[in-house]
Amino acid sequence: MTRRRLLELVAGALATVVGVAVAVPALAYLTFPTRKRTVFGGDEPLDVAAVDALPDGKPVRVVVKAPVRRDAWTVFTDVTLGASWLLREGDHVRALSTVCPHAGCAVDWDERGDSFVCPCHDSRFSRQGTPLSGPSPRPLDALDVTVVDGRVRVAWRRFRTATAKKEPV
Amino acid sequence: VAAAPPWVARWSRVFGPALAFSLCLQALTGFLLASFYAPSATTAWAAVAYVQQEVTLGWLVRGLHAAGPRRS
Repeated sequence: MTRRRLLELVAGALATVVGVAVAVPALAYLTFPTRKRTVFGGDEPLDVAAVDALPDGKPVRVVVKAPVRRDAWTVFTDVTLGASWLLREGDHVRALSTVCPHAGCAVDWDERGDSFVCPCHDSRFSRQGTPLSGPSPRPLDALDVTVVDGRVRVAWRRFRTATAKKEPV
Repeated sequence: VAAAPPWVARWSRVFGPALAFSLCLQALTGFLLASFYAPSATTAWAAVAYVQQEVTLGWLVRGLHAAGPRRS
């Protein structure tokens, strides 16, 4: 090997090391949001209503709001996450997502039909959320609900639509 | 007598490529920093703090961008 060739190889190796030393941190930096969670807040059970304010046996729609939500460096307050149907039956409170499992439209309560109805494709559900008719592939999604000191708390979640299995997203 | 090579290595010729490398590094790290930056009076400080403390190797990228143009 000639001296010139050796110097070329050494220079090429050094340039490669410098290139990798820049490219690897740059890629790790750029792909950070795909590897780490950047949105926090709203996962905990959220206060939505007083249990005494819920009529017995009649669904009530409540808005679920996160008091504080942080997205990277931005802090938001009173962020509306979604809505839930609350149904009190005696001491028991049930919470159902208002999101139709078929296509994601907001289901409404049909007083005359005594059922939940989706305005988009006319899926109907019983007051327990069981499908009665229409294209919905599964029941209305139940949300975890707790009652603490007379206040109803709902753990808001979104679920994948158009699947028979209830999968959080 | 062999002809003199057209390119002769001299230390003075290192500075041009070094300057070009520094310029490229500034552009690259500037692009990276801009991708995590919100330029407003209320968000700029928090965005830079987030890069420095939360983002993977953010301290390094910011350090390179700060040190790149310095020739002390």
